Amino acid sequence: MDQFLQQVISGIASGSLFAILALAVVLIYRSTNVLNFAQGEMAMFTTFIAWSFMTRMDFWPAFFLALLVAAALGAVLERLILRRVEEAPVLNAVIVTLGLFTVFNSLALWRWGALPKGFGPFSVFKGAPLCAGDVCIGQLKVGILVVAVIIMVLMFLLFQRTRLGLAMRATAQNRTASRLVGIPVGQMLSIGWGLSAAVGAVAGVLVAQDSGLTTGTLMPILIFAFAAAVLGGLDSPVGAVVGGLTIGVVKNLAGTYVPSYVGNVDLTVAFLVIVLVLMVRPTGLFGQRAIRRV
Amino acid sequence: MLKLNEVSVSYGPVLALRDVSLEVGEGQIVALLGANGAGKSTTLRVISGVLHPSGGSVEFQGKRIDRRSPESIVSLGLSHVPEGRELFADLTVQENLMLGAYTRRDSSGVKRDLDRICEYFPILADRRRQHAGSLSGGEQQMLAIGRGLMSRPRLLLLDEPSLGLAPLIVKEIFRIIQVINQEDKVTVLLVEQNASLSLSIAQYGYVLETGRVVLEDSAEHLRGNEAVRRSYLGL
Repeated sequence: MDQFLQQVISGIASGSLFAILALAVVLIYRSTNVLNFAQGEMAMFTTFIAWSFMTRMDFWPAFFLALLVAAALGAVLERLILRRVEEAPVLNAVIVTLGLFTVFNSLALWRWGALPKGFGPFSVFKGAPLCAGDVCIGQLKVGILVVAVIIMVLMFLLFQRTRLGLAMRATAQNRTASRLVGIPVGQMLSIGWGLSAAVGAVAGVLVAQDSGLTTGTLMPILIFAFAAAVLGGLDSPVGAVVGGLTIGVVKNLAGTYVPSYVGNVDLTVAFLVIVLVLMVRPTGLFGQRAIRRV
Repeated sequence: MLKLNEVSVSYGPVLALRDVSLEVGEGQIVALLGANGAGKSTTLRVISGVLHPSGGSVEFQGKRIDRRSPESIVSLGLSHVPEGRELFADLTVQENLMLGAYTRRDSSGVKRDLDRICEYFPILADRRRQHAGSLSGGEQQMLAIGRGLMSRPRLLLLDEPSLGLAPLIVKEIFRIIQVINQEDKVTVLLVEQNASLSLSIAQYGYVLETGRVVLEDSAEHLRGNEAVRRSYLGL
């Protein structure tokens, strides 16, 4: 029983990382209707930037400076590159993000090399794990979960309670109509990319504290984050977090209880769950079902 | 109030509008008639800034607007209710209406206008929390007009408000258009397939054919004009 509980808790912990990156994916999707395949590599790249700041200053100033750089990078990418394919079908933009994926990967490899960068010295979540009986959870993991929930709440408030958030949702849905009611569409797209890149950077820094940083660190996380976002419904922040945690737990339990001679099944089982959920609810767990009458 | 001087528009090599000049006076309802593809919607798009003309100029209240962005034109008091309604289908009725007021900062005025639009179209008040995409065609058209009014325009461009709607609904919508014009003093430029209906509420009309103005006159004279009767009124 303890082992089961321990695996669930660890699953929630690793699921929180998926959740944060999934929130970044949802943020861009919700505000621009594009799935950004470069999300993980952008996060990795800005985490390297954070790392190089951290070798020069304290954690928090370095962290917030890196977030600013990430936001600026996201906004500039949208303005200079994505804007050019704005009028084209969404698929073109998606292909462009695939291109960005390789660009950031190569840039990071070229600038910082293949050796892992340790974030241990900069960790702000040191200290003994919190235990209840034999079931324990590291402080870092608790911190990650808390951060995920905070970002989720902020995103929910942004989209549901603010004028800016409403305008961003409108822009994602119908650009012509948005222009006609007077929304500066270009600004909205830049803001969406900027915010999303900043959330991605948060995910990157937290992942790096957990497992160090190489150019490949965020790739597997991104796959699960995409899965989490789809499971949650792609346009829902709450869905992204619930999806992330679910996948974290399922993945962990599958890794523990499916005998190892079957092979490495955690990935398979996690995706099997997604397929099953999507068969029952095509819009995902929390996605808004679009009902249209014409 | 609105003046187009020899406006031309081309889509690539195709000339969609050629030297179109027209004028809409303050307080009027002006009808823009013509067959499919004559350039009626293109004319409205040029006025609202979605398209920029390749020649000529557009003036609104004495200011040139043909190089401005749609955003800045809305805030001058010109609102375009586009063909096909272009609602935010996955947003609620309320959210659609609030987005119509995006350029405004006077929240108490916005609230008053919201109430007024719900008086015009009570069904919208009943459906406030529903997604716009789940409304019937008539309700969607009402929402599109309501959203257009939320920016508190001096001039309203309406593109095919009767398209695909049942006759009773069309009648109701045209009644409201007259109320908006007379009580709220909103000037209207109306593009309509249904020529007899639009000439019945308009004071003046223009007829477009393959991108050019071929005829203009008072609505009364146009109704009596033999060519118009044959081509557009089906008489």
